[in-house]
Amino acid sequence: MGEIFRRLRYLLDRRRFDHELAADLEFHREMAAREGRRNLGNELRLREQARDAWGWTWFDRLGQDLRYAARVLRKSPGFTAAAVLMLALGIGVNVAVFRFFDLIVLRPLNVRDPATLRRFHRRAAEAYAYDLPYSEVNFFSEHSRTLSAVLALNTTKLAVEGEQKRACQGCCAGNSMA
Amino acid sequence: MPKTEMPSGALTLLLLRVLRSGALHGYAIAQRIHVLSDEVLQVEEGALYPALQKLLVKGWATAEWGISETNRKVRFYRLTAAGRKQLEAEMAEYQRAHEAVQSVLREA
Repeated sequence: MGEIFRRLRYLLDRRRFDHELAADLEFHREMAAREGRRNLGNELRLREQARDAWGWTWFDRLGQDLRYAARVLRKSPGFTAAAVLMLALGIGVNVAVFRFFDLIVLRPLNVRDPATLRRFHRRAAEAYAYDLPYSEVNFFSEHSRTLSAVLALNTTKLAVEGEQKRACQGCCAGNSMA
Repeated sequence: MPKTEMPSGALTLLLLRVLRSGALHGYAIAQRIHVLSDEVLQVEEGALYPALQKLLVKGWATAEWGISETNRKVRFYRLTAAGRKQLEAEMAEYQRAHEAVQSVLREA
């Protein structure tokens, strides 16, 4: 745990630590020169190697890469605009499609207990239909004991004053509206 | 005489061992290792300072400002308690590896 904090300190206070490191190396160079050794390596490189031990080299590289990317993008605004547009379109379309899918498929119906919903249809040997006569719906809603409510939907179109219109817009029947 | 490269991994051990006798600055550490190894081992700056930074980051040593024998302000590295522990662990590890190599050399 202590090591993480020490490393963080090296990141936050790097100017001071770098200065101390430079002082170390300068002293080393001085002492080496006294003994006639002058071929100390490139000091900046030495400092860089020593700084590697702090473990933040990736952070510096990341910063450099980001700055470089920003410069390149600024230099070619046409490309930047095209790339941004493509990304926006791609992401936007995906989000829209997912929203739709989510609405239709993933989200449960907005009723109290969606898993208990049942749909009636009539079935013969070779055919079936979802349409039930209104009287039948009425019968079910009045006589059933297991259903808490019965709901019917009518989408029949009628000609009203020469115009085709729905008989009623999603109108419901039965004891469902309570 | 040709310089002998430090075996990898041994430098940290040597640094810890040299610092156990008291605080030293970087140059003195290199000198000490050079002299104590009968001038066989040469610690390059490119290896010494990264290794010292590692000691600091790991908390095995601390650095404090002092005055050098040439009357100059310089940082002295001092072993911490954690450093002493690390030294013991690395000595034991080194001993084990060394004996293993020796026994292979003797008996193969």
